[in-house]
Amino acid sequence: MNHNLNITASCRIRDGKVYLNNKEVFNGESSEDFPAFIKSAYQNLGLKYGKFHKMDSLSKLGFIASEYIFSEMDVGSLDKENTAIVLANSSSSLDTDIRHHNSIKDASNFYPSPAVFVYTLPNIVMGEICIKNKIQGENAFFIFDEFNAQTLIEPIEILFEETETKACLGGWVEFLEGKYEAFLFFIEKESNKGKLAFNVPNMNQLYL
Amino acid sequence: MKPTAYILSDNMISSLGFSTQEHITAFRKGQSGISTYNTLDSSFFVSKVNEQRKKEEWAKLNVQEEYTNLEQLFILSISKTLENTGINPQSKDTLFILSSTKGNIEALSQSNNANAFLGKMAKNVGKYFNLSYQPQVISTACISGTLACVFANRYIRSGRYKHVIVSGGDIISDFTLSGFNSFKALGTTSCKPFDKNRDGVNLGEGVGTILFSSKKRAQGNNIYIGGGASSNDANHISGPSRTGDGLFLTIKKAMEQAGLSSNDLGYISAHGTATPYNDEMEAKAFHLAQLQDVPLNSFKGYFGHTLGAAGILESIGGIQSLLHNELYPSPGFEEIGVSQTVPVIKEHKEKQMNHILKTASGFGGCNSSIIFSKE
Repeated sequence: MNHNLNITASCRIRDGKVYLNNKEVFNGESSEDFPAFIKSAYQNLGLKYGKFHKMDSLSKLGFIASEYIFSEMDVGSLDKENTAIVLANSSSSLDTDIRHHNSIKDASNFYPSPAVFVYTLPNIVMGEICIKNKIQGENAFFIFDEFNAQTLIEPIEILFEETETKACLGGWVEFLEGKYEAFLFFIEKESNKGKLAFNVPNMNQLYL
Repeated sequence: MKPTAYILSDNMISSLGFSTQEHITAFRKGQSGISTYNTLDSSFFVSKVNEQRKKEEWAKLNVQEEYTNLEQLFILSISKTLENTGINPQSKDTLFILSSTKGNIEALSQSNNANAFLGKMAKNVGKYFNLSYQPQVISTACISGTLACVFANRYIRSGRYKHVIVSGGDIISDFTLSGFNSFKALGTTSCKPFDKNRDGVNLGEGVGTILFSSKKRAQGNNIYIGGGASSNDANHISGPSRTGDGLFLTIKKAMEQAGLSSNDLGYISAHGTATPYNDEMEAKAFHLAQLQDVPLNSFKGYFGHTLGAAGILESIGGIQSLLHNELYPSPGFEEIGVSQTVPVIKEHKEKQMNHILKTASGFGGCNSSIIFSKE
């Protein structure tokens, strides 16, 4: 199907490195763990955003990937009501679910925290990205066993076909027990910026 | 002409029963399934599926393999929905979408927590129906079920699939009870959506299933999806918008897609969680959409907040209202308690309608609306 949909930016975060549009833009391999690494990426972006420090790991990961993508764009010029976010992963919010679960499993040491519980949903990361950038378009979070370009492309194509969506931040954002991976991309209709068609081969190329 | 998503069949499972018909009977009487439940050294008002009834229903399926409690409920609801429809879930033109917020979250207490993965749950349910593909899972907080229906409409309209089975479910767990309790969001009595004495939500469990199809029902009385949308408030991750603008945006987009104006809507199946902030926000959104005179109810007073099932169970409730031209009372409601007044339904009555609206909002600032129309 010809949609004239193009990938106008992409960001991959994996193994302590950040790639923007397939080029390494930050190397944080020397960080000893994920919290240290993601904080160094935050500093690398030159961000001053207090809410970042309250986020759980999944939200921090997705948020930083989105900030790299938006760092080279004029976010203010987006049609905010028609910019969508569609994300997916395999472990939902299980990393934070386990934290909440551990806080309630012992009746004599019972300490559930609302600040933890709110992150026991995978779509909170989309909320964080929307708040930062004032994005109000379509929101959907899907769960797939593993990254699969085709299953991720389908719901995004459908948004462009069946709604007034003009642009979409899509991708894969996965965090569980210290293991992480983010692959976010920005899709626009008939954009002149870097014509890279939104299709399975191009997605797989960028994901590699 | 794009295909239309018609409703071929549906099923509801909650404290009120294991069929849509049992639910209609309860709705007509305004009968709630909310009761007290003791756990975590406290007593909570919740809506639980009858355990004995579930065992009997499950035994009828004569299944040898092991499934979790929630998977059994999914399988029962989907099986009942597919009965006598002639739809083969294995065929390539059929898509399966499951919606859930926490799935088998209780598996975290087990030594092997593999079942806690939503994808594993979907695979287990798919295995029962011999699917060659993995059901899609939508997990977008409390709009999951509504959003699954909105996507079903898009998948059918785009011509990609002829049939879409949408099934949403969640169960009562110490996980969600302790979490909502830590937020001080739980009601101290049976919940009272839109009432001035409302003080919080009651959690509920259940599964709702709808079979959408590009084919109409042969026996007539066809209901279809007119339009739908989702949005984000871009305001706060755990508090509803103070203005209702995010929810309003979805209502506006859904009405535009359906080609309707505010006068065309006969009824609203609201999210109505009975927390002070949600109901206030929703009332504001209805005013922004000029729907302040459209009668509404919240099904939360019947079977609590069923999380990932809510959007589907409450859509089916609304569809039944539309089909039978009747309005069901909103249990727990006595006196309006939102700053911008809305007409909450107090008693069962007849009303001729052609279009209805279902709304939902959730953590993360997400909102969703869907319109069902009569042909």
